[in-house]
Amino acid sequence: MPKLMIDVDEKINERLKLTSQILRLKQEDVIRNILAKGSEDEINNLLNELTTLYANNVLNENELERILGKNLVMKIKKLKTVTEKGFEDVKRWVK
Amino acid sequence: MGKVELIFDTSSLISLKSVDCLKLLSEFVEFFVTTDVKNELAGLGRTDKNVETILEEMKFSETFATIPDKYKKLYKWLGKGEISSLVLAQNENKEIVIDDIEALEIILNEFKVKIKFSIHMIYLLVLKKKLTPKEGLEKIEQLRDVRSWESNVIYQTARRIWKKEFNL
Repeated sequence: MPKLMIDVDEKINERLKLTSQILRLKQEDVIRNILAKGSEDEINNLLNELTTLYANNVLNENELERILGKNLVMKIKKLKTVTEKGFEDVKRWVK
Repeated sequence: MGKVELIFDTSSLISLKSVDCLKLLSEFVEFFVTTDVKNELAGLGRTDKNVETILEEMKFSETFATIPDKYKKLYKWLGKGEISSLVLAQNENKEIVIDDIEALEIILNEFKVKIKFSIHMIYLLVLKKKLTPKEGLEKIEQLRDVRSWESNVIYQTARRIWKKEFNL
């Protein structure tokens, strides 16, 4: 199975390269193949990379949804929202 | 700021103990646990010294929470300690610190509760200057389970906040 070649930190720092559709077009088949047939480790690695991009606002919800589907993105979005809201609440406690 | 009243489930207490933050938090937080959580800690403490010390060191306000029948279907995904803590949080309108992120969707669908994760407690310690931002980030990194993509969403979101607020 071909490996997904994404350097996450590099991607975060180089948004232009990312949006040149390397991820969204050229590697989309690779991503789908991993999600469909990959081992647990391969799927986890892929989701780690994609969620890193999303959590850092490099990939937006629509882009992620196109790759992962609505249900999984909804779950990721809830996690991100609860995490962000938690930080806001704690900040308010301290004020 | 007075003490914040929070309900903790077993996993969040163990997580915070594992990064030496539990005792530090007691200056700012009043810990509420259910009898089920206390029993779980006592059970785990029989074979794990680290867990045993949680009960020795910490002062908890303990409440027995009856789990209504309608929540018993949740045993498939959640433990008794978690469900009783969620019931207590909902009944008493208190916030809950819980780290079961895999079941987050079920929790949000079934309960009207405000959720915090262990990392939010670390953030509190940083804001209260009990930890430096660097120490806080290191502890968040320790809590991250590298095999879980769900944990990664939380970790990466925290890292972004740290970068923005503490330039780290």
